[in-house]
Amino acid sequence: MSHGVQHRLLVGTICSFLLLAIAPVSDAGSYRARASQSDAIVTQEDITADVEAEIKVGREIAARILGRFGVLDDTRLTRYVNLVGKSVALNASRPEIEFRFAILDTQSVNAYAAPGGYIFVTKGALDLMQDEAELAGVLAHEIAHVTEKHIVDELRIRGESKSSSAGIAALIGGSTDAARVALQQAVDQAVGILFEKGLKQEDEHEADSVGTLFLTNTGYDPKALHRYLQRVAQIKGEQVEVVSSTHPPFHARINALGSMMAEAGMKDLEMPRAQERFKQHLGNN
Amino acid sequence: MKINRKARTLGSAAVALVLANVQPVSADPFHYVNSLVGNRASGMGGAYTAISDDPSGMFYNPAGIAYAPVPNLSASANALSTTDITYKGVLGGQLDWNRRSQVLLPNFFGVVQPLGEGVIGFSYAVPNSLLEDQDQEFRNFGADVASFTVNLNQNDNTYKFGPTYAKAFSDSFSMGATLYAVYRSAELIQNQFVRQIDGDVQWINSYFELSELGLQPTLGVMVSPYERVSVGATVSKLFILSTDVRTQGFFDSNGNAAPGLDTTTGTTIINFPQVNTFDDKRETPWNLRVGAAWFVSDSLIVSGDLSYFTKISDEVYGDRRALTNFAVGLEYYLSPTSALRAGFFSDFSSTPEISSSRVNQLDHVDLLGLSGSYTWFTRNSSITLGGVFKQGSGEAQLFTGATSVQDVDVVSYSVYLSTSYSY
Repeated sequence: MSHGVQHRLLVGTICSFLLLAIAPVSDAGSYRARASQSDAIVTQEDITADVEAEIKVGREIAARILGRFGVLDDTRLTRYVNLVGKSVALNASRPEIEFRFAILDTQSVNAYAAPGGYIFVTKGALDLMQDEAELAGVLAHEIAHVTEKHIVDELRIRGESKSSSAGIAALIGGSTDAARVALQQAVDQAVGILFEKGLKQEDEHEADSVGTLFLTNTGYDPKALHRYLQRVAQIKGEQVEVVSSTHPPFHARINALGSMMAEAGMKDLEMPRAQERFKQHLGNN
Repeated sequence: MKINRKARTLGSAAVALVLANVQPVSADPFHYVNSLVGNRASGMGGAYTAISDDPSGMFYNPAGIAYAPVPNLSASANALSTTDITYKGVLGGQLDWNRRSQVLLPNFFGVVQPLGEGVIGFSYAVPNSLLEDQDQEFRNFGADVASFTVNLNQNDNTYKFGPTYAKAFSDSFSMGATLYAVYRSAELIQNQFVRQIDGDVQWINSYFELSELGLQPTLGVMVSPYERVSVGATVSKLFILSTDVRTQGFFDSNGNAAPGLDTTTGTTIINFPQVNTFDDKRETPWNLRVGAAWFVSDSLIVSGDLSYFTKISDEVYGDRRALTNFAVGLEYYLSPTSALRAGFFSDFSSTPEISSSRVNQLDHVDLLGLSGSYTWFTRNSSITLGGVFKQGSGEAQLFTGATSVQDVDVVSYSVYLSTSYSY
């Protein structure tokens, strides 16, 4: 074959690929999934290992959050928040997770959820709330991030299989140190999501919806989270910049949550808000 | 390795058949499919250009790793690789001369993980490896050969290591690049001793050593023009940056054949017991590779590749013809925890076909191969046991300065154990 023919063949091949690249096509990522990547291969051991890995990563993330803000030194208020949070968590869908709650010593208005059940709410957010139902609503939103595994799925946190074949593969592949590095990278990525990038908008909307369901099932006013978001949206100033940058626009969340409650018939429910009990615990601060 | 210009070894006397033109076959850098790499690709005959969505994709088509499902660590170990070469009836027209290469080594390691909007990876591959170490003695053959002793020690290894980066620009288009640093080390030591019935002896000793350093960039693209169909292409070339060659040869005889005189051709042969060095760099081909894969279901993939290498004109190391190799492969999941793979591929010789009117031509053997593997899966890992078989027949000119042509058969087989681990 002459050099000229070879050159034309090479150019033609490249042009063909460029044309194929701009043609309407299919999602390569979806059809590439193999049978070995389906849920059919997951064993009970894998599920247990996943929970252990989630708790391990969550503990590391929680340490980073506490290191950034510090914990509010108020045993009585912290106990109160834990009681409210654990009562909501009882109506969540992950009995294998032990949820823990803490108050961050900052006036910024925000709340955080780390995998494994570590939930944080800021002092600034507490000061903006008007009743216990709103506190439960915010905690329910964060609990929903854990039950729906938003960060776990985003970072693909998985446990290590304990099977013999996996052990052989790890031994031959020399993966122990690599897995340790991967864990540290997952923690770094999670902190980046929580403080800078934010979760996907659909995850935030899902946390609003699922959290409102938890709230209602626990016996609180289902409109509490919606009410709290409306109040935060009216606040101007530096302290809400973080939550705005890491979350979808407030009006989008408020509208979506309002539509969900209307469809579910929640808007007409009159359920407890526990304002007095909330003021008793917050009033001392 | 035959060096036409500076390392001419001595030819044979009329009654003594001395093998002087020993060449590598299995690790010949211009047999382009010497070893398949990667736990999945090896089982599929190397038909992987349009798949490449795991660490071995860094070797075949870097664009594919943009679609790797998770951060993934993959290690591959070749258990044993053997190549048998038989030159038929070359000793006195009666006896075959057999050569065997047997090598055990890990030939691929790779790791990929997300970086920003793309995927970064690092891999190490040994696509060429040969190890011959044999001592043979033949007695009473031909017209007047009492004994013929040949000692041959040869090793030739090519190592590639380097980074890869790939990015998916859409759900159906990705690009990637691998930059390998390449190091090749080759050494050939041969010693041949002939004792004739009348008492005359001839002795040839030669030594050849080569080391090369180079860079090999590979650019790849991957597109998905139709549902469940992937098409991939790569372009690659090895740029040799430095070469160091040392040669030494010696001939002695106490017989009627005058020292330094080749009685078959009447030409004067040069004795050079001193070490000669030179640094001429090999010419290398451009490689264009295209492939297509049909992801029939999550249990079945069918793929095919064509790999084109350009022609080379090289007066030092020998010319190479343009050629196209093919490969077809199949992957089938028996269950979510086990899969079978099979492949059929070619490994054509890049050397020109041998002509009976010319001398000092390179071996020409076209090979065809079959591969297969079985994989066990857990959710995060896999173990693969597989094998590759290649076979072919061709021609050679073993005797320097002679136009005679010999038939040669090549059989190569390897068994490998490889793993992948994701987290």
